[in-house]
Amino acid sequence: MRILYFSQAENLAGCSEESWNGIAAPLSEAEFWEEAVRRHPALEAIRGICRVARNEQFLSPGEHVRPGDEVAVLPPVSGG
Amino acid sequence: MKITVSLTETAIPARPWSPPGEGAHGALAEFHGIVRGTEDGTPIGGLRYRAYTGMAEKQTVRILRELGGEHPCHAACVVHRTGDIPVGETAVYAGVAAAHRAEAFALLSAFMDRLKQDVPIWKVGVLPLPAPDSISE
Repeated sequence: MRILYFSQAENLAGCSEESWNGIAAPLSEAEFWEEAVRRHPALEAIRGICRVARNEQFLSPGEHVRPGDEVAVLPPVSGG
Repeated sequence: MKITVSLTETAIPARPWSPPGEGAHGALAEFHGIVRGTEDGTPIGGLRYRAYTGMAEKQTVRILRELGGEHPCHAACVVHRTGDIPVGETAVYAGVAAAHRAEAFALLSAFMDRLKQDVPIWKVGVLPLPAPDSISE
């Protein structure tokens, strides 16, 4: 699973991307966050305001992320 | 609706798009979002933007398609610049062509609201003012 971090998430994680090679089973959004915060505890501060995207689409309620996915942690956007 | 979307690291020209189908449109509404010279009241030299490029382009197309169902228009074009953008230059361009102005204005306004909520692009930094000795006379 390839994980991308943007904006404040990149700053708090200390990297823009990483691979989670040990993940063999699908993860719910809550399980994804547990793993992300375990790896980068500072992400807890923005967990409540970020959205998660799976393969370039926002994660739908109840949808899981899976091994092989590209998963992005997206803080509130500020384009325009 | 014909949709054209791109992200670019180069300057967006004053007229980046001409809608296809000359003669079909009674309205062409265009918007340029321009980098202001201050941020929180402090003078700045520009802004730095970063995007999740693939998703930003796809998400922009999805939003335009969705809004096109509510506000029927003929064509739309969105160009968002990323990287370092100096004050006074265009950060985002959006153009909409339609039979009548009401649909064009409505889609353009609704799109800009959605862009600022649902398209993964961020202002990630402020550029300092150019040093006085770097300003050419």
